[in-house]
Amino acid sequence: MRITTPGQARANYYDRNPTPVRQGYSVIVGPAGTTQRLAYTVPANRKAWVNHLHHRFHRITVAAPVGQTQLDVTDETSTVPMAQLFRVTNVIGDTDQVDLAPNTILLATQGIQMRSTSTDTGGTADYTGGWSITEYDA
Amino acid sequence: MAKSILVRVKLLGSGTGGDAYRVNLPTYAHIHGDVTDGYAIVSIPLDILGLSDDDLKGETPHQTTEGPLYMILSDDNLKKAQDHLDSAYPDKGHALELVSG
Repeated sequence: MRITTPGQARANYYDRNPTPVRQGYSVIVGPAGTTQRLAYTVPANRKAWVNHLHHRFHRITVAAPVGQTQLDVTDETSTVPMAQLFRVTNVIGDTDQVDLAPNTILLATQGIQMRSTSTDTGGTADYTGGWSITEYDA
Repeated sequence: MAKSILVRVKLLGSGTGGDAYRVNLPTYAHIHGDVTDGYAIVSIPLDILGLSDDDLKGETPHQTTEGPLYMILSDDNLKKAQDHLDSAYPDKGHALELVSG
């Protein structure tokens, strides 16, 4: 005879002390080296679901000469960026954007970052980025 | 997340792909970086530091267009923040390295 004890039902992740994390940034800048614009790290004993993110480039004033602008999103679950946007444009008002619903789970102490890089000479651009994350008990 | 404050902290990195300009905090939004003087102003939710509004009552921030900026914190608050960073983000080596200017 086999005697088993059914496991206790566990609440869904969204019922385990969930915390919404909404972070964003927006800057109008000239050329700059690689800069970490936004960072989030999961605390101990928690996990996080990355629901949605966006990263946007918008040319404000022309560069002379123009270089490449790179906006990316990286996380610690992969050596490959989660999202990457390369742009070589010198037209005022030109815009490019990456919108993503990565549905990635980050484990305790793992992080996610948004970075920007520009090799322009002069000129300015507007970078905007943000994400929606749900943090919950592991 | 709790309300955010601004802090002026040590800027790390060389601005290259493998060594981005950044600060040694787990969660933040970069507001301004001064490469020459080696500091950054970042916005950080209070709960990331384990601090509360009550903890900040004795502190004197600079009023800025982006919100209150804390360039100095009391030793008690610095210790409380560091203890919280060590327990909430173990083995990550995060630190609140204020640059008062």
